[in-house]
Amino acid sequence: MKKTICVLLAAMMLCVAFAGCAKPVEESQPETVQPNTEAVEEVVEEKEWFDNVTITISTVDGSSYHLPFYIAEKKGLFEEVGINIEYVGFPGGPVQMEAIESWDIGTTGIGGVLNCLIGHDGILLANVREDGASQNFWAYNDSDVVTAGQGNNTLSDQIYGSADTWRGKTILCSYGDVKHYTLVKTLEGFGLTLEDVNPLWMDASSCLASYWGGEGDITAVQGSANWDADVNEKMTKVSAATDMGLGLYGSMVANKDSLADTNKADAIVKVIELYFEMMDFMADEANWTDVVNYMVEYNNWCGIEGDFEKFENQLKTGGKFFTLEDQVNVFYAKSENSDLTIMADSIADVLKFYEELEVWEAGSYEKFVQPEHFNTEILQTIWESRTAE
Amino acid sequence: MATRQEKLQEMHKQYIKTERNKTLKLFLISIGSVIGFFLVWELLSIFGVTNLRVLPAPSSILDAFVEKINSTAPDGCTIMQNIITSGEVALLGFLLAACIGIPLGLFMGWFEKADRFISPIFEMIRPIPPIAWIPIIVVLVGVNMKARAIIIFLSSFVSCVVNSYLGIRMTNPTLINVAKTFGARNVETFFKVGIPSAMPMVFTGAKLALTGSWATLVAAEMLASNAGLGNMLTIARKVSRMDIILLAMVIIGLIGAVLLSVLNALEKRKMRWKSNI
Repeated sequence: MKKTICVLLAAMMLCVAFAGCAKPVEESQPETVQPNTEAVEEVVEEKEWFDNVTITISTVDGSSYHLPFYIAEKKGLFEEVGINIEYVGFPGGPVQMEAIESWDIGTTGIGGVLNCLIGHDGILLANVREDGASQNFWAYNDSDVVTAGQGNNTLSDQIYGSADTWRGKTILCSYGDVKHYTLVKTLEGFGLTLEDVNPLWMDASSCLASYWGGEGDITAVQGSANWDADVNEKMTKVSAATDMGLGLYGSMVANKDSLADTNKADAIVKVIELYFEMMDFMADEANWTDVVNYMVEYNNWCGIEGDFEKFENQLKTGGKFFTLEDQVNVFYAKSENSDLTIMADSIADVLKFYEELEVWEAGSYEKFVQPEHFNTEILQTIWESRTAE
Repeated sequence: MATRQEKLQEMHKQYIKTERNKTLKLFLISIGSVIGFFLVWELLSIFGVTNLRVLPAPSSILDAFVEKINSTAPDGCTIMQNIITSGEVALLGFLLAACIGIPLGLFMGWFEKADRFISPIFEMIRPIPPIAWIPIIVVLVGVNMKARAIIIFLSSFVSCVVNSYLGIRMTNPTLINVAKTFGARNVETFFKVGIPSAMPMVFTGAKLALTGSWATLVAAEMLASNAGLGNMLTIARKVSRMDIILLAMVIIGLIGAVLLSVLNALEKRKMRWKSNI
């Protein structure tokens, strides 16, 4: 009996000792890049205090939409105003939205936005970056699609191949998302439909691995892999959403309950304000090297490998980041095509495509355009207070 | 006056009738519990206790089923196309696992040298979750039906091996000694004593493998699939169709239950000698 008690006590002590040795989450993050401190002091003009309220920010892991949040956190801007930031990363937009109750504010692609507003009554706040740059299709350099050259597609001269070379091809792609949309548009430009090719639907993250494994003739490539050295050396980008001007955007969304929570609402507004201040920081060419270093650091922390060159290319060619001024003066303006703002209309266009394809059920558009799904007041208020100063 | 024979026959008929009534009652209790579960769920939905966005009512799931009979939205296939595709993949994986795993387990359990040779490798493979094999399978085999069947095979294989192994190891030594006494060689004893003795555990392993194969279906169809219940579930998730997600889960559960009952019936038929089946 005594022996048993001693063994149990020893085991408990070991457990406590090992628990004490565990690194806290914050310490496992890589070392902070040493930024330009003068820029830090200029960014935050008022020292407000939010009494250590915790705001949870979500995104798709490695997504560049999250970068301004990351930079703000690394510079200590949230800490300065008494806001604790927790981060939750997800493998994709729909999964992110399933867990909407676990976060307050987030950035996501179109798939995530549709899920957020239609499926979970979330709120769309802003379009933060062009999304089309990572919606690409690639083929090996010696593929007949590549050797057929460019200039045969009515939507863009940049797209490779011809109707004959695309016809019958096995194309690895994810179903029901913007890659699917990009593929259909590409085929439309050749006068083809999905019936003329052999789409092999799979999870987006599996497409490239399957292609390397010998499957398919053309593949969609997910996220930052579009800027991998291997991909760019051995393959050619045969179609890109940006080339076709499809108007795809990454966006900022919010959990409606969090915005309604009086304990959090003001802190969320401050978090958004700091996000767009970091957008301005990123837009300044003098900070370019720091921005790229932050991007490298952030992606490495998410487990996505890459060096300075890769992420510099991704930031340069991955599409424009939209500042606060862009939101207020461009995206919040009424669309010519509907009663929606340009921000909402750009996403609604893609939704109509999905409804025609029966990916989203009939009636989804009506759910999407409900006025309570859009909040322009927060950014308008931030803009007005900024321009008043 | 009824003869003794007639009286015995009458008593036997009465006994059979009683047993059938008992079986029917037990069956109705089982059906009743399932119906009761769905009824309670529906009532909770009607009275607003559950969040319909997160947990649709059973009637919504039924509506989704009716819709999917003819509609290919949102995944591109009707419900029957999905069931057939999934059935092919799951059964192929299961049958592969059974055909390879059961003989392997029996062999390892009986022949010590085989056990010593194969066990270390098997014990290393055993804890690896089937999903972890996906990247290697993609590179080696591609993303076709073969690859999906291999993933399901990997999830079912372990149950077949382990239970067959344990089953034959539990063979009553007395029976083995009797066989030896009557001059049976080791191989003969293996086939005539060991394998029949291991059958109850073999069937247990097969049942576990069958449920495992259905459970792994969703992961396997995420690999690459134009059709299937797992694919239907994955696409439904992308478009917030909780009713279709639950429909896929219910159908996977129901088909799994039906297949298990088929296996149970096969077990009863093949092992009538076992009294407690």
